[in-house]
Amino acid sequence: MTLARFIVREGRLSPPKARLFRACWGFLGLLTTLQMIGWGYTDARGGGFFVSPWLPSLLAVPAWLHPGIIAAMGASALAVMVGFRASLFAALFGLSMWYVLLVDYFAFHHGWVLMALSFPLLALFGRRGGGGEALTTADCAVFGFKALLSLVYLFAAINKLDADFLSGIVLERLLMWSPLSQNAALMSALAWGSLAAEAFLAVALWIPKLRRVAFLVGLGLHLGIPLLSQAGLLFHLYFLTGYLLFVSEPGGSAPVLRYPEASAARWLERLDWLGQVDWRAGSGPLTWEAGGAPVSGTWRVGVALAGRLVVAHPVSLTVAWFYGVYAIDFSRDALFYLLASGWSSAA
Amino acid sequence: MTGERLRIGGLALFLGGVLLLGARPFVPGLNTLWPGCAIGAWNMYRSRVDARLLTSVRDGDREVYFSGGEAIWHNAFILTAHGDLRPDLVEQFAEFLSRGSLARAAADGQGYSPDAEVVVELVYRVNNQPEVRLEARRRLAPAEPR
Repeated sequence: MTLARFIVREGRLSPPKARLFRACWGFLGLLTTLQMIGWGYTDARGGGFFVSPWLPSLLAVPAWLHPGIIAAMGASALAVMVGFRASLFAALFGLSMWYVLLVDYFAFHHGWVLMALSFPLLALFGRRGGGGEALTTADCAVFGFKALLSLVYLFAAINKLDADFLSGIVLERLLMWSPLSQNAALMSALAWGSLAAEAFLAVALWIPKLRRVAFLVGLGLHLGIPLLSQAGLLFHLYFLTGYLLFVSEPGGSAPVLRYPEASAARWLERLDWLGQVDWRAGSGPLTWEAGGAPVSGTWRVGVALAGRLVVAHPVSLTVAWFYGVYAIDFSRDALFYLLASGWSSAA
Repeated sequence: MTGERLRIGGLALFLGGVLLLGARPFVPGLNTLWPGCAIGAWNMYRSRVDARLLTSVRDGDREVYFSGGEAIWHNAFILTAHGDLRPDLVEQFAEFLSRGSLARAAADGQGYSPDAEVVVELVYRVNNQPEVRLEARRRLAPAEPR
């Protein structure tokens, strides 16, 4: 297989999946912006003392530009999310994030760097080029996105190849709220475990046979770190959302759901962006066929459908839950900050 | 075919850049790009950093502590989550605070003399190394006329 064919195979997304991913990533961009506002970044930047030495001329930027850029990021993320000129606004979001990083580069967050690197790629998701079997710009962008996530795992693992980290003292600090942190052997084992998990994920996400295990390992890692260290989860949501790019399309193996044309199931079909179920409208009763004996009846089919969702998409369900939690949490923080900081009086 | 090569070239350029950023801490000489800053290095939680940052306005015997750490996003130079511990920025930070509104707000209404100073104290320990204590002082700049 040539390199181009490999990139096409790994980088080709169905249009519904591409739209879903863009909406999710746009939503994460919006959460990131709300987090910046809620944590006071608009006011709290270190000023000219922390500006990149490369860009002295940017020191003279007008005072309104910084909060203005952050407002533009929020609007851009929203536009990406709803699919309004998504490519243009994804590029604008990426550029804005690079502005923040370059002008105030000590103020960075690892998650912001991921946003700055990923949004320009997202801007290219809609570029089709030749189409068909030919390599397109969109294929390269999706492939680059997946490779970026793998490289982050790889470098995170390489950076943990450190005697101090592997001795467990870093985790002891993070877990100091728990009595378990006093168990040096356990802390060292956890340190080795996190290194192994990251190294595994860097590779296993690309291997179809290991992908399902990789999703579960990733779910454990990305929930375990924030829950154990009592830190924020947004950085981890980036990765769990990124797994969507690695999810295989079920193709012909999807379970069949037959439903009467007039039933509410047709609305559910529209929500199945990933094509996890083969929906077939007809005149017969509601029936679920997944290899064994067909199941009929609204409740039984509902349970089967929910079961399919839980088994096939534990990561998606977790991500959806935290999307909801964070949307409320970050909006509230941002609103409180804006009200408390007197933006209204300043205006 | 030319378009295909261009696309693969663009992808290689992007991934090469990501690799370059990630490799900075390990390759001597490469770290002149954003020196000391961990952008793209993905070195989350590599070291255990225990740090206390204290900021105050002092005038003779009087002192008022304030939350100067709020002026640094994510407390970037003293945080375990980041690999870029930068205690050398304490002096710059004191300079910044001496001109900013946070310190003046702490001093407001206290009748401070022109000799009032902003004091930044950073006490930190990395892994099992000995504790380090740094202090920087700058004279508090007068408020700008409105």
